[in-house]
Amino acid sequence: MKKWNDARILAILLAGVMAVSAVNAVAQDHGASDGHGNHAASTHAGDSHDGGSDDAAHGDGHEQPTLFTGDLGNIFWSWLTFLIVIGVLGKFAWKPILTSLQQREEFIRDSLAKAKQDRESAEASMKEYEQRLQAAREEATAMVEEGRRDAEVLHRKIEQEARDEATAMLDRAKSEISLARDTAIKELYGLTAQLATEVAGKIVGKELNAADHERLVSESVDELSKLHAN
Amino acid sequence: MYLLASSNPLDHVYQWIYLKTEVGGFDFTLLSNHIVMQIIAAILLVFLFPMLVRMRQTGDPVSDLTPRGFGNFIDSICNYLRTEIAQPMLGDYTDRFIPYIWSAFFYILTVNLLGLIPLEAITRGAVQGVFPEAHHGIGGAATGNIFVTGALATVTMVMMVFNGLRLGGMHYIAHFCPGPLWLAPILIPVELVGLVAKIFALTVRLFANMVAGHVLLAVLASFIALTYHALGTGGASGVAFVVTIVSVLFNLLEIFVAFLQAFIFAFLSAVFIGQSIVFHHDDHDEAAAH
Repeated sequence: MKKWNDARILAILLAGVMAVSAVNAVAQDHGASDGHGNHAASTHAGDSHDGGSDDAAHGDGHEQPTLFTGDLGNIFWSWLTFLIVIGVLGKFAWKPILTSLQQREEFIRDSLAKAKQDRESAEASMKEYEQRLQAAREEATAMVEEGRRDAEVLHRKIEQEARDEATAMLDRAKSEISLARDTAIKELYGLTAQLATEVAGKIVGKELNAADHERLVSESVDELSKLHAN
Repeated sequence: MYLLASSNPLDHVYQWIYLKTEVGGFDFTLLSNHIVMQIIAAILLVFLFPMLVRMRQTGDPVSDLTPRGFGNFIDSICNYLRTEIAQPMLGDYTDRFIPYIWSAFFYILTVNLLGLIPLEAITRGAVQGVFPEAHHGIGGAATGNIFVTGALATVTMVMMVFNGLRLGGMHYIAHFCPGPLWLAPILIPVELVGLVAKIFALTVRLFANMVAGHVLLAVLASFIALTYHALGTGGASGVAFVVTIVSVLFNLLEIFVAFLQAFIFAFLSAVFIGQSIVFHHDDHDEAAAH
């Protein structure tokens, strides 16, 4: 902020110095032109100059120029300098600059086209990858599903088999047990009958003959079977 | 200080002739302050521009196409004139005529800007050393000379007519009579006057604008002299203070005008050349039908 203020003060001072020196210059000119007589007068007159007084003022017989002073020479020099500029710059400046502008234009156009192309191809690739990814995901899901189904089936099968086997084993065991029991009961009956017969024989005091013995045993067995059945 | 010392505010926009001859009964100026300024402008352009446009950053393919330093100034103006001005006007012919548009712009710009440099007072002695009769140093805007602006405008006219005939042929001639044939006696003179009027407009626009700015500055400065005589040193100092500040602002405006007028000349040249080589759609259809 302070810097700006300094700059402003400096500018105003500079303008002041210029103004004073401008007035000085006018004063000097005024003093100098007094010698010429009519220069000061023409200064007073401002822009009301005419040829007559100028000739006297300059004192060298030159015509006072006007706004339209000029002739063929100006046309010639304008054409000459302008055509030289057109020719030389055309070859040494405009040609390189035009080439560079065209190259830059082409470069930018190509870059944009390439960027567009790249983007399109990237979008296409992405679409493809997305499709592939989707397909892979579906495939994976299907595979997992299938695996689960297979596992389920296998699981059931194994379970079923195990159950069947267990049932079979149980049945076998039951039948074996029942067979063993029947056999044991049968043996027990036999033994019991024999024992009973022997005991009875001893009590009766006589030996039973073979036929009685057989009959008693089967009677006892029947009775026992009935008992057992009840 | 010359502006103040000169008795006439228009003195510094006049052409001051140093050397003159006669060719075929006509005056022919060999050297004047304006001619020297034009030669200086041409030398500056011819020697500086080929060097400046080659200022490029180098290294990679992008940098090779990127201007550097002052090259940016030229590059951006050239690019603007080409894409914004010439391409809409000249279409496919842009790159054929753009060197002329660029040349016109930079030539006029350089002459205009050189005219803003106060060289007169410091060169008067040197000029008088060579031409003792001269009483004016070099300096001033050569584009404030109607013969100069006229000469430049005729180059544009030659570009219009020559290229119109070369590229359009009969189409160009036909466009001088846009109506029915029985109207030709009226239309052809009107169109011819139109052509000359375009060139006259180019001439006067540049001339008048360049003169006006300089006259304005000189008139402002002359107020100091007037108040000095009327009010003395005290009054003149007050006025001089205001005039100095306003003159600085008008000088800045003049720099803008120097660019603006160069641009307008280049722009109108592009428009006029475009009008004479790019034909209306009816013409194209007609040509296609044949």
